Amino acid sequence: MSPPVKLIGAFGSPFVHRAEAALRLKGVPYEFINEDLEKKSELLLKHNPIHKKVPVLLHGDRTICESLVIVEYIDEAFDGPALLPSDPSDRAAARFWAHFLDQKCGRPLWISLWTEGELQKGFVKETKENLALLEAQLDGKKFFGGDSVGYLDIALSLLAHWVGVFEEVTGVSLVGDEYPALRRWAKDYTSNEAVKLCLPSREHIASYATAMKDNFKLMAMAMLQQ
Amino acid sequence: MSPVKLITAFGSPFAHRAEVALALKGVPFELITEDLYNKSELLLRHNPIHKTVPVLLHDDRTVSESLLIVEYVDEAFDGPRILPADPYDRAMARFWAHFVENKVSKPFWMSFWTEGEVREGFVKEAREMLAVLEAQLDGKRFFGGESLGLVDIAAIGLMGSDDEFPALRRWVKEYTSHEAVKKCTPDAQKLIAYFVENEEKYQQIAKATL
Repeated sequence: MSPPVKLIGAFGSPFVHRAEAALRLKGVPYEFINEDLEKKSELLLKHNPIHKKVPVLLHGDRTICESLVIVEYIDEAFDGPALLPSDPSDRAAARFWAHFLDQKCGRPLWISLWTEGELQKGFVKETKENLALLEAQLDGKKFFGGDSVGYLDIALSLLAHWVGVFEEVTGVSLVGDEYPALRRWAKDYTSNEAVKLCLPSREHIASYATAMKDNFKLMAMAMLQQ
Repeated sequence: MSPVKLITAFGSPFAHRAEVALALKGVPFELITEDLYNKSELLLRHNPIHKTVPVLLHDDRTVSESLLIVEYVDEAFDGPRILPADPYDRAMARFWAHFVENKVSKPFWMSFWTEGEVREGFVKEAREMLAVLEAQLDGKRFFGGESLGLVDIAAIGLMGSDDEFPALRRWVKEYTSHEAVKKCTPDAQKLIAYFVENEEKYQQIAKATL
């Protein structure tokens, strides 16, 4: 019998969702340990001393950190439907676009949402260019992974669920009608049986974002200085 | 079947990673050297998003980003493993390769191309990160254990010789005397001359990222 699986997470985090979605899609039972990110626990700091972040996967006596590393681990360590494609070139492409989101899209997206004025316009333009690239990647497929949800869908889940709520809270429109494939994909992703079970509700995300509005604006201003 | 081609640039530690992976697997390839101040149509066509080297061309496939190329080479070709077989060991290799990429690289390189207090800050940060890597070596010959792995390939180019880190110094010797790596290391004199010639450019790049 496989050793128990625990996931240290924070309810509402899109990075934690990546790990949960992978576990759910593989059908792996797990215990969710909710972290208060304002007051990090001994457990978290012990298991992720370098980054001190969630998610952290505990599998028996093994510890795995970093959301995308966790997703690949789950894909390789457990039976169940494959999350990454089998072809090496398709795998490289999936990883490439996941990194693209984290490293290229993240900052302009956040600044677009939480700042205003002339500077913000430039970042909205950049974000829309990034979205256009992702729209093109869907290329008639139901999911980025093909017919079923895969690694890249999970990696991009922020766009399927969280961004829509942030758009409502801020009044900034990003994923508009010019991205029909992305909009359809967002609906298909968030209504997937396994994914649904670990998506925080829109109400939860909205009330959190509203409460954190000033903090988020400060974070965006700090990013502008970078 | 068309041969494997690697778009590279002289002195790039990122391109070096891709070269080492190909050399480890014994894959014959053609090197296309890019002038990064005058980028070619070929590079811009195959890596339109980042416009950087290295880029691997294999038949009709294109792979960009050095660490992704290393994983691709490991998966697409036979030969000694670059990533371990066990899923947990693979996760650890990826974690540490990302650590090198995201936490060590920037302060390390910036400590060379900045001055004064700013430089001191980067030196301090680089030292702290290198100390973590030193502890990871933990008596092993390579980060990958007995043989070269993903983390070793990620970390090359980062090390100078620093008395503070005996395990890292020993690792540099092991790494640079490895058969596959020797095939790829640019001539040290040529490399130094290249950096000296372009020192101002690097300093400007460093200033722009501050």
